[in-house]
Amino acid sequence: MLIYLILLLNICCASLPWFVRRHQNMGAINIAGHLAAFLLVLAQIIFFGAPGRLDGFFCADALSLFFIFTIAVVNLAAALYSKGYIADEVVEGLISEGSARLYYSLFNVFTLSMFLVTLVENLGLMWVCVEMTTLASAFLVGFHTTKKAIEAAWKYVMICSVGIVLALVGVILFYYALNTGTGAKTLNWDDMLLHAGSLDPRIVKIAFIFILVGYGTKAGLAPMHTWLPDAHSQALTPISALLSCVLLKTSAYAILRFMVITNQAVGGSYAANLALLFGMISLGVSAAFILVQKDIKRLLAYSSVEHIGVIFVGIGIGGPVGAFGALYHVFNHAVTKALMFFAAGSAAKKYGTHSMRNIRGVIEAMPFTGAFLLLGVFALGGLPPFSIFMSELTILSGAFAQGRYLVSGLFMFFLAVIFGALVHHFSGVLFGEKPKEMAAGGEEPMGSKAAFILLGCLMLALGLGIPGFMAKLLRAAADILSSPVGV
Amino acid sequence: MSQILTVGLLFSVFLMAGSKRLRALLRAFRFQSLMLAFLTASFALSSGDWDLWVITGMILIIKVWLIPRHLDKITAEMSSGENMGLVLNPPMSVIIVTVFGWFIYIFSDSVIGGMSGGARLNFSISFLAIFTGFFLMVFRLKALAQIIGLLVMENGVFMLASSISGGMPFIVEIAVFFDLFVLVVVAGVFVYKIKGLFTHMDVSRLTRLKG
Repeated sequence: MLIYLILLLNICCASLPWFVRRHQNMGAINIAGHLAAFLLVLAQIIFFGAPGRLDGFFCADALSLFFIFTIAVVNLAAALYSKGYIADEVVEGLISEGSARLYYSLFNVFTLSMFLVTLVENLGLMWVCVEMTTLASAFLVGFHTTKKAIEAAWKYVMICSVGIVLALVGVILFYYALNTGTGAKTLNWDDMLLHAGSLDPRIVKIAFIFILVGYGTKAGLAPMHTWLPDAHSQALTPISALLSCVLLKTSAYAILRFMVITNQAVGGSYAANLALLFGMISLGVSAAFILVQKDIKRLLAYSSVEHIGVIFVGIGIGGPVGAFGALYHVFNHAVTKALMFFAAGSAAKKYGTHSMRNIRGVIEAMPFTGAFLLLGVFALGGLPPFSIFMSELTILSGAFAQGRYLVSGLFMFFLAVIFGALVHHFSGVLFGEKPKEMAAGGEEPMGSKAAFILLGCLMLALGLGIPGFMAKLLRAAADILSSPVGV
Repeated sequence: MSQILTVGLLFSVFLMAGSKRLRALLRAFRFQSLMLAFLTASFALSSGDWDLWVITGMILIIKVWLIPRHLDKITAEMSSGENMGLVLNPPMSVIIVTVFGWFIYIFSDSVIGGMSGGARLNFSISFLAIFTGFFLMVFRLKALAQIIGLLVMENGVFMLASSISGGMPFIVEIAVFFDLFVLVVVAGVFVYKIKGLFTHMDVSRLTRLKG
């Protein structure tokens, strides 16, 4: 089975660096592993579709397969970018050859844990896997062992662990509701969904709040997002991309799984309204912070809070259109934000600072990176013809179709503010006056260029149209989310 | 029997809120974990589930022995005094925890109705332990005290699981234990790094990242 092979590849990539000598070889193995994993996921989707329940342990329905696809794409891009990035760090003496080995190994433990979150059928084990993602990535956030990095890593571990404990309370309450309602002793998602109608709505309502706040902390929903800007700004650039593009989404995935059960147990509007509320708060908070931001990576981190907000607004609006838009946005944000993190990371490295006051004239200093950064800003801000425009438009059309004009108005207002802020910040970064002492050039390594081109193409292509296999997968995943109550 | 153990758990919560020094907090945590192990054993005895016996064993090994021992070692090596960085003094902390415990008990019935007296007590004490853990994380500023706060929250969650639903599926419990242990090891590594870089362990002074 291809799904098992993907997990096996990750395990191999996590172990192999310990048997290889040079960091270039470790990077190459990493790329080969993630390229193979990506191709396997693609083959699974195109030729076999979602296999459903694999055994008593794993289950890959359309929803999980869609998230696996997103993770595989970002993993591949991050692996491509990592090779040159880590090589630079080793050459500059920032990390040792041994640390590079640790990096590649942890990178794969991290990606493995994210794959597992989307694959395990048991909601208790899903909790364990989400916690595993925190523990695996904590060292990658604090990798440089500077004061700032350690501070960020500490906050990351502590805040996310508290959130996760609250999520565990939610899991237990769901289990309790099932146990008292039906006598069943299982945490398998399928079985819970089957009995969802017999769960005590009062307990389910409270349990879902715990789930939303708990996993929402890890997903970066405001106001529980406080760890996110610190961790994203201090992590190594490829890890920032993984955190922002897929880690947040895996926690959102966990919320979605519980949301489907909640919808069946207490009716459709309860969980949707909560998602809408938190989505809007995230949009508002991120808009304010993006406006006043000075650090380029923190700005991108707040932009992640914004896009998680967009996703939750889409889920809150619900129905087939809202759910489709939200999932489509999961993928679009992942590819666009990965590109932005890579471009911003390269610029920050060349200029030796994260401060946007000092990063000026990137287009002139780094033409290749600058061009992609420019495209990325427009894409991230939601301009056509890029993919984020399409998913935001889908969500908005869902809201209009339901006559939710206040939600639509607020949504557009926040997006407009954020677009203005992005253009304001990045116009200086891209077109400002380049520092005189800085030489132009500084080409990206081949691997990084490949990552930029891959992500850039996806960002543009998905704005122009969704390939048939992906549209089918997205529709099937959206159907799971928006299945009518009581069915 | 289980009523006595539940009261023991309640007592441990107040012990923690009233602890002034790290070692006292650690001792209270060990006592709480021991009570939790006995409580699980009493459930195992009454239900006859063999997996609950395994869980009891794991609580004894991981929560009563390994984790406190590991944290004890770190406390000894840190030699930064045993001050926990109290924001609220112990008497005030005990009062707040007591008032909160009372609130939880009052509201527990309206939240989840139809519980028997014993179940309601267990439910309330579990949530009180979760709250106390959270309270320790917020109002004790030393990194180690925060780790213990997190562990106390987890103890509360475990008690909730075993008291209201007879424990979660076996494999989940085992995996949660493993996760918990790794968490303590990871957090311990960061405590060493904080101490090494900042020469203190006061998390309220980790304020370089803002905005």
